[in-house]
Amino acid sequence: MPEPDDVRRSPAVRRARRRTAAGWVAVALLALVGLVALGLGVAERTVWLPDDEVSASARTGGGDVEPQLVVTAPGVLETRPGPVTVTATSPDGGPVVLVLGRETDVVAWTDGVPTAVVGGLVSESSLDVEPPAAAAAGAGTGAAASGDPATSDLWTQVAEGEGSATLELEPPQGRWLLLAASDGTAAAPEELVLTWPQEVTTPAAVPLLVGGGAALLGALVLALVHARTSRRRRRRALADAGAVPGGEPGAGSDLRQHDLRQDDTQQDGSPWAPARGSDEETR
Amino acid sequence: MTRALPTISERGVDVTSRGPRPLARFLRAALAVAVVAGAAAGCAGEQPLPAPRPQQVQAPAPAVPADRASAVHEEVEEAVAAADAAGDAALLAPRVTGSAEEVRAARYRLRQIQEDAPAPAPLGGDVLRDVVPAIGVPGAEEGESPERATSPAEATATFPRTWLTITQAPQEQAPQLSVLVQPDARSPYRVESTVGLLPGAVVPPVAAPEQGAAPVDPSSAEGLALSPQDAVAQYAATLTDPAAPEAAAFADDAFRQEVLAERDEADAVEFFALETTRTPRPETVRAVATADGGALVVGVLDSRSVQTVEEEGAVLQLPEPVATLAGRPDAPERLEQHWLEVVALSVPPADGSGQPAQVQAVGADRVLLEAAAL
Repeated sequence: MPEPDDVRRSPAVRRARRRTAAGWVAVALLALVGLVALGLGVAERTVWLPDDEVSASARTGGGDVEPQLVVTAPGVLETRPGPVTVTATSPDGGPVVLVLGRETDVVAWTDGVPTAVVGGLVSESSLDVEPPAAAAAGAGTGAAASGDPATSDLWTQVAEGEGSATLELEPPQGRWLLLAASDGTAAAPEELVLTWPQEVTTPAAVPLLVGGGAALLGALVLALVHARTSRRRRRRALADAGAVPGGEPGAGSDLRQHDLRQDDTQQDGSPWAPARGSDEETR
Repeated sequence: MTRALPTISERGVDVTSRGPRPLARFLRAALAVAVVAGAAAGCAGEQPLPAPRPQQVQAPAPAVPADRASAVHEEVEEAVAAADAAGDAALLAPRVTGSAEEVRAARYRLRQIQEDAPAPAPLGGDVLRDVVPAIGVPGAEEGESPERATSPAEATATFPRTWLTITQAPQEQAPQLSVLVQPDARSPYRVESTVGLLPGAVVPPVAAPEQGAAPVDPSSAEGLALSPQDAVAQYAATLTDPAAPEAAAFADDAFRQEVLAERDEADAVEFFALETTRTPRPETVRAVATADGGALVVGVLDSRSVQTVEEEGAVLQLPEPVATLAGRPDAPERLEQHWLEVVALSVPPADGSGQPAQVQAVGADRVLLEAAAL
């Protein structure tokens, strides 16, 4: 049941068509935005989820003086919140001792012995290292040795191993330092790795998921509303153009048939199209 | 996109404009949410690097943590038990030194000659009181938290550390007071002296048992009725001569009664003369602060006595264990003895009330190191 050409070409009908098309573009864009936001939100919670641990390492060798001991500066263990896991490794597989002690005790232990001091973070994954002062070794001419720290009464926690040793600790209240050594006479472990738990936050995930969901819902509502108004608009435009004289009630059924066909072609079998059978009553 | 939307509704002048306008607003809002959310996600990774956070210093703090303390007690007990069982003083070395080692070595020597000689009092058992040293954090007076790190000089100045512990071994009458000393950071705690508590002795409490006791300089009388070293020296003088001017500063005690009774007994015998000299070892005097502001002091005395036979033909019959150590049952001319005496004194704080509080001996022990009969 084709419409007469003059009716289709009337300015009112064309305007109504243009407007209908623009509305659908808006719906599609909104749906796209919603999908992208949802996707980003899901990705942040899954594939982009950061590691729940963060590690930083310090390499202690390389200075003029070979350190016998490695200590952390005050507060380094507490650089990040939470318990810290410390691992010291010796490349030659020799004995490794890790102890936790009060600042006073650790400093007293290291007195006169070439000691490397591990400082704060210089990047996300590496710690500052202050090599032992040349004077410390010069005075002792290599004879200065602290002895094996593993057997001392000073420490609250001790870990020993061959090649590497690991100490998991929650620094107690006060100033506590970590001391790493081999056996007190050989060179200190070469690498110290501090690992903290990382609080994994996804601050954008919830807004993205909610926003994305809302955008999709909005697109759905917009599509429903738009489909209805555009049909009404079109019918009115057709009526104005004289295709349906007077718009008398008897002609209603014919028009509806036509409108449905039009909608189908534009919406491509959208699932809500049949639901509009009730439009007649609410109009 | 957001710009384009209003034009849709502006153009629709001839039809109802109710629909598109709120929708356009909604669209714009949805886009804004998406943009803000995206921006927030983008910013999340760019935080400044966290810096080290030195904690507040709590001073003073106990230098020996509880679990370490019980480990040390166990090792002391094991070393002493092993040495006592073997009669070998070399086994004491890991955890016992000083006069405590001397005393046990003398006991072992005696038991090698005389098998039924009394065994030395065992160390260990239940810990009745543990007075661990409290170390102040250098630069942290009055609750301040020093920003700077502790210097090596400040740290080493917290040594030597003195730890008093009172233990009650099973089947022993008197609890033993042991003095453990850590002379420097790289040495372990070793028992330097042990002394049995006297009957009825009351050991004054320390300030805060969970915090430990502050160290007291043995040579300083600051805040005390007597400096710890002076207290030991004057108590030695009192033991030797009850009429000495220092005697008034000391309350009566069971050990002094015993020593003086022996002296009186010897004086009552006409045919020999007894000369006793007591020499304190000032470097071994250790002291910790007590709750009342006084100090608990442990010191070691070398007591040398010479008995000279003054009557022609008289002979000194030697009691055990003197005879065993001297290697003969009698002394026709002279008997020389060297005893080691360990004393524990409670020194009161100095106060201006005019009522001078007396020093009270709470523990004392003596052991014969050497005897020579001529």
